[in-house]
Amino acid sequence: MKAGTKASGPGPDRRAAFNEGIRHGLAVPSIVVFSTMLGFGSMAHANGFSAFEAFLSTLLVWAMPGQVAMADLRASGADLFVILLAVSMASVRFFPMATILVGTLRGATPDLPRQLLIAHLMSASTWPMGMAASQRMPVASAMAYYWPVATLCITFGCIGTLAGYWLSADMPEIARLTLVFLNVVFLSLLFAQTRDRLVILAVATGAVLGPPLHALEPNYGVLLTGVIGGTFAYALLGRRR
Amino acid sequence: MSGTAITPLALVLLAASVTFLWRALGAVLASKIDTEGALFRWIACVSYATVAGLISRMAVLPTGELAETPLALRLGAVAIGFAVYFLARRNLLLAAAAGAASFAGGLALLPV
Repeated sequence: MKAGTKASGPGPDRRAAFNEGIRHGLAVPSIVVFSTMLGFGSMAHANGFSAFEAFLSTLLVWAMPGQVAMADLRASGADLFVILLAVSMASVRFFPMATILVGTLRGATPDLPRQLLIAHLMSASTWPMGMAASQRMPVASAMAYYWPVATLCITFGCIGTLAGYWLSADMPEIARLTLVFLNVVFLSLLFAQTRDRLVILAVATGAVLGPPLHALEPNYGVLLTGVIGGTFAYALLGRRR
Repeated sequence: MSGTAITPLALVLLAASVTFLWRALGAVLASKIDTEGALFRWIACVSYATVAGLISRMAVLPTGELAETPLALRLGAVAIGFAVYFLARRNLLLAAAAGAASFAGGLALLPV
């Protein structure tokens, strides 16, 4: 990452970036988020949540692992404290992610309410898209790009939740599995656009460490992966700039 | 206290609060931190590694129904997606579609 973003210079203006955000938001992420939340919707149905509660989870929690932990643990009769701890652990990643995305975009968004909205709309799709935008366009344009992308994603996520709640049991298995898998392919591909060596190293280290650390320590695996992988990449390439 | 002792709606609101707390902490730290500094770069590395680890875990050790599909099929389909991405001049839509289609094709051919 070029620490710091382009304040001005080449790249689309805000209107062009906004339109690009709409196009990018409608292209793949909407389908991906829709299908991810389809899975959550059908799970919420199976675990005794109402359609409204499932919809509200997606709108207000907006983090698949946390939502799954909540629905799954409640159905298994877990202690309330354990449920909330699990949801919280699943969402710790938003702390560094928000620091970086909001920090990168803060030049275009100085007020706290909108910064909190940026942070709330972050997901595994919108965060890499917003970060990539900030590297190829001025920060005001990246902000104009992020809003439609993020709004479309959460909208399709809510629609997907309801669709999954009512429909997914009727879908053929192969279609259901492929929709879930599309999510995995798309999110992996989001990193293929990276050209910065430090980012590539951090991504590669995280990708290698993620599965074994999760197998070793399911509750803290994601967190450990980030801290160990990120620190390794930083120590190797990040100190001299 | 069991999680079923409160209504699902209350649980959803509590879950939303604990998640939002992390997002808000990050947003607040973001306005205080030097975005040109070493700490910012380190946190960025941690974020990238975290997201990459999460996605890699979804491909290698998925939860739910996807866990019953063969690992080689999942990794092969991701690899095809990457190959198409670079061959088709970085076309994300085409690459994602190719990856998903190879996965569906593989599922149809293999007994799961």
